[in-house]
Amino acid sequence: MKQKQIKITFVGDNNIQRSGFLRQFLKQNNDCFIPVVEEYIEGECTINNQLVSYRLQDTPCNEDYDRIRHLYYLGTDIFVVCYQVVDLTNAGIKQSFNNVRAKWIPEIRQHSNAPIIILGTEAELLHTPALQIQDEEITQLVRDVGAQMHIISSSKHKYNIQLVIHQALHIILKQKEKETRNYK
Amino acid sequence: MNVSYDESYYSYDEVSAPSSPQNFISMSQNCRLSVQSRSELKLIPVNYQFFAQNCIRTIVPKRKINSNRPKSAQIIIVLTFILQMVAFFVSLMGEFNYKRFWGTLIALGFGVCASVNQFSVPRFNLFVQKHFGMLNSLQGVIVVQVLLLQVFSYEFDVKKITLFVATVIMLASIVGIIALIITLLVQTQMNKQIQSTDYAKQQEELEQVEKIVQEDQMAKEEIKIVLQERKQHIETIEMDEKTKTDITNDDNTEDIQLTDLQNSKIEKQEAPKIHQIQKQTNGKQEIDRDAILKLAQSSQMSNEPLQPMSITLGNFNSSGVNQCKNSNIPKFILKATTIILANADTEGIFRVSPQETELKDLKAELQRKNDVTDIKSIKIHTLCSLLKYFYRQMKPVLISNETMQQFRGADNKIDQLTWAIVEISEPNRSNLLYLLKFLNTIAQNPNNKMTVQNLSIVFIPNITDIFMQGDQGILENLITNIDELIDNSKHHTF
Repeated sequence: MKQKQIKITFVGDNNIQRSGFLRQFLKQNNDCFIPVVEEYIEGECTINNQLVSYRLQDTPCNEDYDRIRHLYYLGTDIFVVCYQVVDLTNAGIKQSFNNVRAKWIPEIRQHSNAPIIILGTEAELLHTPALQIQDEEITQLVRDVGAQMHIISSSKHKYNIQLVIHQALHIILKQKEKETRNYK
Repeated sequence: MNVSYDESYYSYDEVSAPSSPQNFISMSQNCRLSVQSRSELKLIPVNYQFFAQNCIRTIVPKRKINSNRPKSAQIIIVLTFILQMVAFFVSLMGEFNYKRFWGTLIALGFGVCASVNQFSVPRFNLFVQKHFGMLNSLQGVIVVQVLLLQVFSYEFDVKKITLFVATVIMLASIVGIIALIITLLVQTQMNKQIQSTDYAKQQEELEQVEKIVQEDQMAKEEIKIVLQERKQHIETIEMDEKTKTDITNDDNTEDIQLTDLQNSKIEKQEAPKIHQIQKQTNGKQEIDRDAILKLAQSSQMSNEPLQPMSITLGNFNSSGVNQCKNSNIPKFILKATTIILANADTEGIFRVSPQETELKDLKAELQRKNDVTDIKSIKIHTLCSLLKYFYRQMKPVLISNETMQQFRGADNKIDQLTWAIVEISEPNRSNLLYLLKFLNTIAQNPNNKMTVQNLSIVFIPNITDIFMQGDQGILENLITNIDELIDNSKHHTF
C-alpha cells in the first residue's frame, strides 16, 4: 500500500549552514553563497520494512519573504528549526538561538500545529574557543516550545545528518500508528 | 562538550545518501537492496545505539496524560461496582439457586466492563454519556441488573425482590444526588477562577490601552513638530531654486546680448563647444566611490543632519535627469544608504538576518515618524533590514504590476526597458533609479560576497507586490545596465 508523502520543512536564520545541511545530504558542493529561494529533495527509504517517501523542503528565510513563506508551510508533517550552536560574535547576543523563540516558532504556530524538532548546526565549532550556549538554556527552550527532541549536527563532518531525517520520519510514523489504533 | 565521531556511523551515511537529485531513484533502489542483503537490524539500530550513547544534549520531554473526564464520574462508577458486589453476595444468601447466581454474575460482568471502560477505553462510554447522561448510565446498569435477575429467577419471591430493588434504588439516588452536588460545586469553583482571571486580564488590557493612548498623543505632537520642520525645509529649498534660476536667467540674457552683437557663424562654431563642455561635466559627475566614502565619513563625524542636496550618487543631479531630484527621495533612505556604503565591506550585507527583538521598536518608530533618531548607533545588519522594511512599506509600491508586466515583455532589451522606466510616475522613478545605482555600487565591491544575483533575490519581494520566479533575472539585468538606462532615459524625458 502506497502511503502519502511525508513533508519535512527546514526553517532558521541565514548564514548558519541550514541549506548546507541539505546539500551535504546530497553530497554536493557546499561553498555556495546564494540565498535559497526554493529547494527541495524528494526520495524514498525503508523504515521497519515499510517504504516511506519523503520531501525535504528548504524555505527562503530572508525577512523579505515573510509574506510568502507560509505557502511553503502548507501540508507539512514536521518542522525542523535550526540555530547555530556557537555564538561567533562572543558578545552574548546568541542571535540565531534567540530568534528561534522570538520569530520562528510563533510564525510556525500561526499556520500549523505540526510537531517540531530543534537542530543545532555547525557542531564542529564546539572545539573552538567561541562562546557556547549552555545546556540549561536549551532544555528550557525545548520545554517552553514543546518540541519533540533536540539534536546537534555538523554539515562539515557529516555528523548526525541522517539521524535528523530518520528521527523526523519515525516521529510521524508513530503518530500515524496511534491515530489508526484509536479509530479501530 | 565533547563530540565524538564514530566511523561506524559513516558507513550508514554512505548507504542511503544519494549522490545527486537525478540519480535519486536508482539510489533508493540500492538502499532497498542493501537492506535486504545486510538485514535491517544492522542499518537502523546502529543509529539508535549511537543516539543513546553519544547525543548528550538530546532531550525528549514527557507528555501529560489527558484526563478530560471529571473525577465525580469515576467515583460514581466505583460506587456502582461496589453496589454490584453487594448484590452478588445478597443473591448468595439464603437458599442456593443456580439461575439467580448466574444472573447476578452476568450483571456483575456488565458492571466491571462499564467501570473498566470508564478508565481505559473512552469510546464505549462516550456513547453512553452522550445519549443517556452521566446519571442515566448508572441507572441503566442497575435496571439491566434487575431485569436479568427477574428473567433468571423463575421463583418469584416478591418480598425479597422488592426489598432488594428498593434498597438499590435508594442507594443509587443518594449517590446520584451527591454526585450532582459535587459536579455543581466543581463547576462553580471553575467559573469563579475563570471570572477572576478574566477580570485581571481586563484590567491589564485597560492599562495598556491607556498607555497606548498617551503614546499616541505624544506622537501626534511630534508629528506636528516634524511637519513644521518640513514646511520650513521646503520653503528654504524653493528659495534656493529661485535664486539659482535667477542666476541662470541672468547668464542667458548675457549670452543673448553677446549673440545679438556677434554674427550667426560664430554661434554655429560655439554650439559644439558648449556640447563638449556639457559632456565633460557629465564625465566628472560619474561615480567616485572614494568621494562618496569621504562624504559618508564626514557625515558620520559631524552630528549635523544630512542635507538631501549634498549627496550626489552618479548622474542624479546632472541636467539630463532633471526629474531625478534628490528632494523626491525620503530623508531616511539618503541617511541609511550613506552609512551602508561606508560599511560596504562587511560580509553578507543585506543577507544576514538581524536580531528580532531589536527590530520591533525601530520598526514602530519608523512607521510613526518616517525617520529614526540615532541612526549611527544602529548596527549595520539591522539598518539594512530597516531599509528593506521601509521599501516594503512604501505606498504606492516602487514597481507596480503594470510596469512589471512591461519589464517581462521587454525580453531583456535595453530600449524597451528604458521606455518602461520612462512611463513610471515621478516620485517612484527617481527612487527606483537611486536604488538600482546604489545596489550596483554595492555589487562592485568583492569583499562582501554579494553579487548582483544575490542582491536581486533579496530585494525583489520588497519592491514588488506580486512576483514570479523569472523576475529576479529582470532585476539583475536592470542593476547591471543601470548606467546605460540612465543615459538613454535622458533623451526620452518629457
